[in-house]
Amino acid sequence: MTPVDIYSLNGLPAPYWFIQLFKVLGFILHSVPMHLWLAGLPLALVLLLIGGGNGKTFARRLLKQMPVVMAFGINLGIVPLLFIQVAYYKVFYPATILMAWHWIGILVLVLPAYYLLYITSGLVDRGFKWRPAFSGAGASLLLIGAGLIFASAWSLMASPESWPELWRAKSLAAAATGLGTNWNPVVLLRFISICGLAILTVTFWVLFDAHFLYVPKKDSGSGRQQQQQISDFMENPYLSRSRKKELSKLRDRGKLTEEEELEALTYGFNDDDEAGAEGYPRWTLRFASVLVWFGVCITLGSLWLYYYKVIDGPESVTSVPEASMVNAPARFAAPSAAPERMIPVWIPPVTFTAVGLFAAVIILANLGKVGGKLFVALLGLCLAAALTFFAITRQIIQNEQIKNYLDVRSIPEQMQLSPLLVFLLVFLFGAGLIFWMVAAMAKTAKR
Amino acid sequence: MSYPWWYVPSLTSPMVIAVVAIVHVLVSQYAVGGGFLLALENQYALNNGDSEYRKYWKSHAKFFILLTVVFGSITGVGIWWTIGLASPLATEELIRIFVFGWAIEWVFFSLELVAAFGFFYFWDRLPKSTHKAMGWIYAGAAWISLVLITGITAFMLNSRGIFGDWETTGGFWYAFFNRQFIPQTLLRTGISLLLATVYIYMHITWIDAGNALREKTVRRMRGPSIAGALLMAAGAAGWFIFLPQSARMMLERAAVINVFLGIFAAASAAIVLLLILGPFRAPQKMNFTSALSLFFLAAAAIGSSEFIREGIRKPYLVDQVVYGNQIMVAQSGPISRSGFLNSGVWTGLYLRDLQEKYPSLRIYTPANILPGSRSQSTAVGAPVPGAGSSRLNAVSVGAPAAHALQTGTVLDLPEEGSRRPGNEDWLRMGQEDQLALGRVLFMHLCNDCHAAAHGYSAAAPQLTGKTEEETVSFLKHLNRPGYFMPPWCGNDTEATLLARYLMSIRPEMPSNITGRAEESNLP
Repeated sequence: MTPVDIYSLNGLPAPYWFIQLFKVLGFILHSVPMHLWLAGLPLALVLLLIGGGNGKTFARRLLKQMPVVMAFGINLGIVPLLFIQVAYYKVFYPATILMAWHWIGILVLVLPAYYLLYITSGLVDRGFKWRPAFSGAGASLLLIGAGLIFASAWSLMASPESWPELWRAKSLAAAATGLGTNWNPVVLLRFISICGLAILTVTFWVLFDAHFLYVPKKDSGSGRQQQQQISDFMENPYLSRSRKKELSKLRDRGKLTEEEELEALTYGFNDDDEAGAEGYPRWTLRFASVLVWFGVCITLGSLWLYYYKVIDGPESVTSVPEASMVNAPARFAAPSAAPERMIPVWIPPVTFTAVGLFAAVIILANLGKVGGKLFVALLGLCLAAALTFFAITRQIIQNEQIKNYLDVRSIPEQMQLSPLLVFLLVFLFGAGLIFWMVAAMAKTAKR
Repeated sequence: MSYPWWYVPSLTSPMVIAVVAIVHVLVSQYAVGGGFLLALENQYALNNGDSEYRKYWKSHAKFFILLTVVFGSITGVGIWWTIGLASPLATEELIRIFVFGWAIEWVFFSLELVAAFGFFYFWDRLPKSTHKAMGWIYAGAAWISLVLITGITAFMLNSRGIFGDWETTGGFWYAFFNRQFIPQTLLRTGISLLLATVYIYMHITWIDAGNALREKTVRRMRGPSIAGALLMAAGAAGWFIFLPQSARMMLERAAVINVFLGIFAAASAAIVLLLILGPFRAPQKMNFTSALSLFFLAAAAIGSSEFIREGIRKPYLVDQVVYGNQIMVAQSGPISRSGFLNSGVWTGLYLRDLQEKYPSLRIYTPANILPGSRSQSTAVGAPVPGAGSSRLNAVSVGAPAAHALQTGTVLDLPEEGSRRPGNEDWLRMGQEDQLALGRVLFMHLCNDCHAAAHGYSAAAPQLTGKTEEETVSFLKHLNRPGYFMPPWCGNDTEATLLARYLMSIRPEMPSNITGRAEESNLP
């Protein structure tokens, strides 16, 4: 008996391509903030603790941005989640029900992580070092846990053949207890490939932030020189008022340690320096040219394994185990005689090329000391291409994996034309308004 | 039917939705009303050059963002999570009908986020007019989000449309502009305003704002409190007028609904009284304790109103579309003729496993039941008459027969209008297996609203004192004495199996109760 009920399908409310487009587009947009908290957060914490002046600057900037990043990550995650439920509900609901408690666990992990990010951001703002490191590490671990559950759920969704066994193991009177899990090397591989891409996104963000969002402090001598002009942390212009108040109280009670006092005294001054005259944007290019190697190696390695050894490997999952198809209707019951290639031949090389191009541009730019906004924009296009091809490939694989149970392409349309048009109009209107608000904020920030 | 049932011990899985939803509503309604008040008061402070008052609203904006953007958005996602787990069929239907409503709501949610961050993080940096505009963009987007979501939740209570019925037209707009839409929009807008003022009372009395500022803020919030209360009253009246008949009867007949209605009325009256005694008569004396009392009363009123909203929908999850036990209204007839266990994917899988023990057991599958239950001459893609909506026969009509021949299963479709007596060889299985099958039926047909022996609205204790025959008869006519129950969606054999299971777990007659009713001498 096939575990996917194809006898009570609804028509698609929009054309197949429209649903695929928004699902993929939503995933790409969601993946940018997701990558920042997955790879950027731990990296920022490491740099906060052991980085140099510029490293700390980047760390502080990213940690302060993180609550906003998180908000948009969640918001943009709604789009693919909505369109999954429009067309893939027959596989989405059973998979998540079988692992219901883990699925709910995502919320249990993300909610405290979100608050911890606010706490971390506030602590960084007040000049602390170890406290934000601890709270940030907590948030990072929780978010990695949530990411692993997501990877597990999407894998389970794409493998209905594994549901009956899971259900038998974790059910009570034919009802799912929701305690099922789906941990296997493939899930880990999927997660690692996402981590690789996440490092690439962070690499881009380091440069984007430095070239587009970073506003250098007014030049009045080097940070070190400025710092030498003050003798008390109460005079430190970079330290927040609340932190000064807090430290002052500690000092009055004789509980202020020397280390804390020194940190408060020097806080913020070295942000624009790095032992010499090298500016922050220049440092980011140098840093990115190192970081990108990690991203490229992990991404290419894991994707190569996933595409060629797991998906289109000798034991391709296109050949659905016959046992799981017993009793399925004729057109669904015949597994492919020979494994077919799931992924169009040209897609992986193009994805790899986009990743390679992204890395090459950074490395060459660093060697030639080339920089600037145009260069970062070009880099953004390379990354967008890599993320887009990855997202398309991921979608193709998902469709192929479930095709023998649910062929989404073959579901007839039942167009909801007028609501669709209203949505598109509202979408354009909303995008325009968001653009206006962001432009107003950018203009103010520059001023 | 299509989906595995998620078993949550004692509580029942739909109650998980209730827990998340009530917590979410307490924050999301504030996100709407609070956004409006932030925009309004920011404008007032800017226009009057009142920097001290504006400083307070900046601190309130921080509290507002920490609560609504973080907690509100995660619990909002939590509702998506839990409805998909506990009510997948109803969610599937709602998404099919309202997908673009939700997509539009997402656009407004995005606007809310950008505007909220711009409003707060650029508080003293944006030009005044831009800052005011951002406040109002947030307020407008948040209210439109409320309107969009209300259109969907109101449809769940009354699917009849203002301009025409969705059931006959199948159109999005007919579903969205349902008869509960306007009353519930008024009601929720009123709740949002009133709740937001309560949050503001709490916040201003908690922080060290100074007497003058506190009194001023409390005074200025009186107008929105009154406006909220009036909108609530108008909305509640409309809500009552446009309730479906079954829901209105439920208000009167269900004791638990009566209790919650009482809590709602008492809490609402107490809120009005406290508002009169506090902000209206002695704004200077408003303190955190009274603000907190207002909050708890508001939480009690909102929590009970949400419970009432859910409770009076019975027997439906979505009015006239999906029953509370996750069965499409249009499918209940065919399923009761064919048997429930045969009709579901996962119950079918259970039977198949059981067949290993009892090889002679006859198994029917969805393949030879559900397509046959819909119009056999219906073309793919066309609406199925009587299906209550426009679900599709995704496979050609010939598929079940071909499939049956291929797999060797028995194809024995019941005739329209007849009730299959059931697979009686199930009753010849061992007692343990019969009880196990009964438990499977309980999980899928009853556990939506009832725990088994112990827990939320446990079913077994309600049958104490009944004989097996009485229980079978009760089950087979489930919606006759209680129209708020879904009709029996199984065959006769399944009713017997379920009754035997319930008999096995029901508690004995309490020792302090003497004799059964029929043994008494009462006429």
